[in-house]
Amino acid sequence: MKRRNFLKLSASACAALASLELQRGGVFVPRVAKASSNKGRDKLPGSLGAKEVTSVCEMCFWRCPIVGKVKDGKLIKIEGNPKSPANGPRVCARGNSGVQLVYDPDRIKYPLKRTGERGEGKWARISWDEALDEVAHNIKKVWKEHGKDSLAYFDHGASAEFMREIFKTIGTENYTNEPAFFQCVGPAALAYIKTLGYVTTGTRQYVDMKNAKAILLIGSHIGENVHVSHVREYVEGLSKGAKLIVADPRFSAAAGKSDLYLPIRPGTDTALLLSMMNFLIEKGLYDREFVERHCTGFKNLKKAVKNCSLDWASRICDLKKEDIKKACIILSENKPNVAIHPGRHSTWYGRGDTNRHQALAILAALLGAVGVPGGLYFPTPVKKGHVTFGCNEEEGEKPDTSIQEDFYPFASMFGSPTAKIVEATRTGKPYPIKLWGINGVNILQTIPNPYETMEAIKKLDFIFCEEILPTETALVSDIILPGATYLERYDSVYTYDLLTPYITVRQPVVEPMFEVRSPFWIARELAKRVGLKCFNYNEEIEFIEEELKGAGLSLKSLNQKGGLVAFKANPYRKRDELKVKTESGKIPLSIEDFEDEDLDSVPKFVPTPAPPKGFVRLIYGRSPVHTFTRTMNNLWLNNEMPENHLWLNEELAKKVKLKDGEEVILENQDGKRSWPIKLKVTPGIRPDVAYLPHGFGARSKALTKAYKKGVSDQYMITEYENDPFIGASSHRTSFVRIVKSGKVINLPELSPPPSEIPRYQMTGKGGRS
Amino acid sequence: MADQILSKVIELLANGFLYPNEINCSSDFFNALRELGSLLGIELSPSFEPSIEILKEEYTRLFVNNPNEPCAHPYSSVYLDSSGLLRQRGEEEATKFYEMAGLEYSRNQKESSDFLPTELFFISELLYRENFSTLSSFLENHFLKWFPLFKNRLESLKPNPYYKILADITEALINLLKKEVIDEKA
Ligand code: SF4
Repeated sequence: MKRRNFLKLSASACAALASLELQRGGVFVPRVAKASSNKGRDKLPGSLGAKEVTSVCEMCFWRCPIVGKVKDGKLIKIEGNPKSPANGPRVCARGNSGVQLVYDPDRIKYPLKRTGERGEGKWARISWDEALDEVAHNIKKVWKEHGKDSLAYFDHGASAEFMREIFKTIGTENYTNEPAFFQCVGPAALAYIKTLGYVTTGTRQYVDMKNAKAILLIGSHIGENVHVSHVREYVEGLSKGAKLIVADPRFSAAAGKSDLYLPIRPGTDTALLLSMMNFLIEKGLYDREFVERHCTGFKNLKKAVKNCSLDWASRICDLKKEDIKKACIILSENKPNVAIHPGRHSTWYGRGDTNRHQALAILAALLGAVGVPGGLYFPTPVKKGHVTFGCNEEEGEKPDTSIQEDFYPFASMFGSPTAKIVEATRTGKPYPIKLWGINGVNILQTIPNPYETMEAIKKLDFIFCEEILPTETALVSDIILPGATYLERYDSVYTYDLLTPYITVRQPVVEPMFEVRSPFWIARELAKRVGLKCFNYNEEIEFIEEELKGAGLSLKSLNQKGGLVAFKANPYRKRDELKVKTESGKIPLSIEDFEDEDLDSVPKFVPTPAPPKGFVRLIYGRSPVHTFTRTMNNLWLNNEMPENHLWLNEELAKKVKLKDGEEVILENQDGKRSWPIKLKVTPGIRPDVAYLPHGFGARSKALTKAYKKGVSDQYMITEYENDPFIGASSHRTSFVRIVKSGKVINLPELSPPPSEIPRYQMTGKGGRS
Repeated sequence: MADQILSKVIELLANGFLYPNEINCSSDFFNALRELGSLLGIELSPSFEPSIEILKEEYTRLFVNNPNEPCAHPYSSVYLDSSGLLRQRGEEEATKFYEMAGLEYSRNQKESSDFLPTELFFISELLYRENFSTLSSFLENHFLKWFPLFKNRLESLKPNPYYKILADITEALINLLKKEVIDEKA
């Protein structure tokens, strides 16, 4: 066959070829010589000579200021913005790896529509018009047929904020205002709002580890949990000689740096804190002057903790009495410059979670560690213009039975508890929920008992998501809207109100790939189609300019200043100026609002059931190179840590002949089994727990790098309790045992619980029903 | 004349690898493919006229996002760079060849410049312009380094015959070109 033989193509084929209006036009244009100013620069190796664009990282929610280095329209490298007083030129491993997110071929590239059964895995690419019309049609239909509250929105992070306006405008009570509150920081946030009058721990933690003389961490594993400026301050504090006390059932990275390590029995942290308070009060080691001037409810507190002796705590917590005493002395000797870290992820055991964080806040107050260097400090608000989108700012009318306040008195401060949304969707009670919108959160790897979540999804009339990657949640969606990554879009002006305040802006570092669109664009277009008067700006730049104007800046002037302007912090208060934003202006050591709702006004130790015989408690934590499931498919990060291993106590393992590196399967109390996982046998963990770094074990085959790597702790958490304050779901109330070569291995109990701690009763139901 | 026809034929194949539309799902298009196939000994049944809906679903599964297994991503970077990422070596190479031919990939395109149809359009353009030296180098040093890998991946996904035949015809034609513009030159 020669190419001239193509002359043999029949006349009809040639005619067909000629008549077909094939697409081609515009793919290539004649080449124009590059402007001389750039001559040679793009030929320099690596990121040398690259164009630099400042922006803000979103590989995690900490949002460090960054500089993207771009050559030929391609992102080459990411560094910290040197202008930033918080992180300077540094980013963490994840921040560096944003490049790999943009160029991941697994990305959702175009709007997709489900063509087979829900979750079957059949999609077709569709146009934006078709996708948005379909979502809008379903929103309107469900709204009309079942009422506003039948629509629910699960949202997280910057990408979700604009679309949240649509659900707020519709008036549903079921936009969750970050489901993270109900799986993470909610109980802690509530405890601090009620004690200190501000969200001492939410997205940020206002705790001055940099200037602390002593630091107390209850379960916080800083170093494995990386937020650049936070870690830097912690390391600086330690390098200046701060004494570190760590209570954790696992010998974490932080424990490795501690002066005093307390290998506490899981679920007993509040007992430890109460006994410390009692000891400090009894021995007069607390900051009496501070308490008298700035706190209320001391008598109640004193009475409530009076029986919490060190002996009692030692037995409950399985700690040496001398060690607890030592911790108290360290803290007292260094008061008020002690950092009682407020923690962040607080949804551990359900019932006692708010109380545990209330106890941490009270401990800080007893030590006078509020508004002082080294203690808890106050945010420094950074001024910027106020922007409203013209959407409905009013709360929607509450349904007859609200799944917020009719079940949990403080839920509405944060939205609807996710567990309640799932339950209402499954059962239709107290009212049906028929449509879910999901944005920025992989609900199947976030909310406990994903089996229940799946059951709920099957009952929906419609489910859609805005996503960057084909997550487990995307796989079960009817329409997938491809969102731009944080490196391809504008979002908003960001301010940082911690020890090194600044203002900066997220702006696109590179052009969006494929047909992905910015979250603002998507929300605006969707609102139009739903018929809502929303978003009175055409594009992000318009409201960004307005926000910057309020700070005396414009996008141009901010960029001329290196994309960031820093301010002086005002974190501390003179003692006689201290006034917290509670009703009395003082710190309540006993909270009346809680009492009014028949909840404990002063923290009480509520034991969480101990593992059933043969099982150990499953706990989890972070990996420094991952942000949960969302970075698992990232090439570099996957390479750094592709899978998790199960930490198991050495002595325990020896008793049942399990070896380090061996592959096993986990079985939980409801008979749910995991995929195979390797054991990390170590003396660095208690024998009544097993530990898994969270976020691994992707079940979406479309996440080609992450699929089936390690085990998802989420799929092992089928037992959860809801905290009585806001309805947050507990994550440390499930238990596992080992299956090896098909044989179930019951794990012996090496630290039996004391009689005060009941044992978990196996229901044999295979999960909640 | 032969090169002009071949240029048009390659343009046809490039269109086949675009998302299903009224043109590449028309009877005329299928007929042209059928005839081409018969010339190359690749058979396409006379009754073969899949619906555009079926092809859209199939295209998505094969080339866009596949919920069940890795796609046959139609981008040279995915195969030429050990990272398997988009916009890497493959794109750099392709761009250099476009520049060599005095062309630039239009900025208005949604796809990166190493998208399979784009590279086929480029081959078509070179044939049209009878720029055989660039064509020879492009095929030898770039296109043939990744297209067979792409085709293997595609075949492992058991594609609808339409895409199987498109890939077979593309392979046959490119090999023919290779023989004539590279091997015979040597
Ligand atoms: S801590 Fe790391 S991932 Fe998080 S915002 Fe900063 S650089 Fe990005």
